[in-house]
Amino acid sequence: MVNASKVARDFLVNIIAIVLLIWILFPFYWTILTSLKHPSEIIRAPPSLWVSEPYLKNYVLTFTNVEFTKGLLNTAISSISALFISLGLAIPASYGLARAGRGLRIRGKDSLYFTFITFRMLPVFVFIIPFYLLYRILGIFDTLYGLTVAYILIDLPLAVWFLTSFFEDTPWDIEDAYMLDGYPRYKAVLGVTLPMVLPGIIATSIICIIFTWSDLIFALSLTSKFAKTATYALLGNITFTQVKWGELCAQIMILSLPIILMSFYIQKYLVKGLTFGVVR
Amino acid sequence: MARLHIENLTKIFGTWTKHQVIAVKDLTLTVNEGETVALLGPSGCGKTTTLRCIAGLEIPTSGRIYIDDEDVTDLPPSKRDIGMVFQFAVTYDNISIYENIALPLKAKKINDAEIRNRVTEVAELLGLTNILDIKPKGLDISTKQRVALARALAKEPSILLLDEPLTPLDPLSRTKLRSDIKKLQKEKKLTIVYVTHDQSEAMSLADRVAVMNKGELIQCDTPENVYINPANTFVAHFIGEPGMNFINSKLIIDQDDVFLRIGSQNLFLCRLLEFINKYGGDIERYEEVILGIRPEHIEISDKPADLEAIIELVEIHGNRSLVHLNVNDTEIIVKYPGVLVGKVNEKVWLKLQRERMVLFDKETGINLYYKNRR
Repeated sequence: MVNASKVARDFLVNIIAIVLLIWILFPFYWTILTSLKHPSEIIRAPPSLWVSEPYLKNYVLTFTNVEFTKGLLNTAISSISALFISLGLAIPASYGLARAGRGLRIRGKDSLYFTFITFRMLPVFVFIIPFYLLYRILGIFDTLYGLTVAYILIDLPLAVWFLTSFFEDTPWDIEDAYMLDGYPRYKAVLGVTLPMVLPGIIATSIICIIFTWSDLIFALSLTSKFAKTATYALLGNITFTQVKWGELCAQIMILSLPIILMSFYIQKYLVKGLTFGVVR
Repeated sequence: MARLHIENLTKIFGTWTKHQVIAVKDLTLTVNEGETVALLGPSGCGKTTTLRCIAGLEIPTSGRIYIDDEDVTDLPPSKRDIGMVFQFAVTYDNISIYENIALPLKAKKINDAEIRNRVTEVAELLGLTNILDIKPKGLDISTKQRVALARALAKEPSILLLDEPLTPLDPLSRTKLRSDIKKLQKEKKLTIVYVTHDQSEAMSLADRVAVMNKGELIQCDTPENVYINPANTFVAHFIGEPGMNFINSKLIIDQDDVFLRIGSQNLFLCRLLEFINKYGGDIERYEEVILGIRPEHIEISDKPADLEAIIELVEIHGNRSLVHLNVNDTEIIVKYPGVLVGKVNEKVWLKLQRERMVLFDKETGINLYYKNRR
């Protein structure tokens, strides 16, 4: 009886897993498929679920499309610089917040932490119009550093939120011992504590990159021509006369490839980082 | 090795918040060169905070800390020349044990040959010679603690701080490491501050025991004195397994003799002259006192003796028994050598060792012996 119910349960779990996988992966498959189809095949009804002769011109066209390649570069520059600036600010901030939680018990520590998180809790639309006006006044509209500043707004709260809990979970005794062994505090932090939260920092970075890499709303409202991102450039495929489905899907594939590769490569850090505070 | 002097140390956590916690209150303590002082007290009494202040890991709210007359209160931990072993063994798992022990020496910029000598020496003392080349990751906790101790010793610190280093160990390796520490302490004439909540550890390792409660230092004296002549009822009850028995009583003077009246029974305490010698002349001040006597200083007898009591419960602990008795509605415990069986609800007599009796003030709980000397 026990065996029978276990088999039934395993069966059910597998079914659910398969359904979920299809649910997640099918749109992705559809995108790859469309990117490899000839324009005439894309609009065929009923649609085919396989291409026998891949049509690679979609990809060739993508790389000759200046607007998209420039957009890709813009996305990369603004996402990565926003990430590094955010980490540069968030690592000391989270260290301080985590440390204050244990020994120092600084007044206002909780409200400070909450203020950081609040930026994440408000819907992004709250920022759009003030940002637009502000950027116009400051003259940083449609510039890469303007976009970077907006992306820091996405990255910083996330990074502070995650890293604070990572720092809270590191044993302070090791840092204390290192100081007593004759090294100043900054060396203890750099030499002992930071290596311990490294998986957490990497996981946080991936999540931040995913958010900024796929951002459209800030790009749409804060750029128009020079600092246009890749996501914005994707919209260029929708013209008055037609939607260039093939090229659109090819561009989507190229845009998501770095994220996918990165996630595969640092998967173990991601799992380790994300479960750091949960499983002990 | 050096002398440590702590003056009026106070540490308040959350000074500017609503939830202030006074961890250490006005503590003054001197640890002489080559002396071991154990900070003993229940958890949360401020003993670890005191230790962390000495190490420089906490900044005192007020008070000064001196090592050999040098004021170190404002120095960072790295500049204090202090070795510390934490409760949960701290080792650097990505470098070998040799490098672990050598790490503080490198910070001191000592040359390689000297480092090798010192590491070899402490490794030998702590039985780590064979495993110097491996990394501490995955080693059992007692070996890790030895590595941590070796690291603290190798740099020949002026003060060695031990924060409950034996608590997480299993009983066997605990006994072993304890005797090793004892040996080291005598051999190297270390100045040690040892934090523990285990009184047998404190009693066996320390030259003096500093008993703390609620952030205050209650008594700092030799283990014998803390045991025989505790400063107040807290120390009396905290030290000893089980702690001291307390019986409320009235002081009565009958011509040249002093008696304690317990319920309807009279217990001869001492001659009046002796009493005045010990507790001072103004005997009228103390009408009601608390009589304290340790469970091992009472004998149970069938023949009439000092006090009448009724046996309530007998706990048998192998070769001895703990007998719970009722004296005038107060429960007291007596250690009985051997096994006492089948005597519950029986009336017996108690014989108290007169020289071991301690009197405490009823209101403050302070030992009258000390009260008179303040």
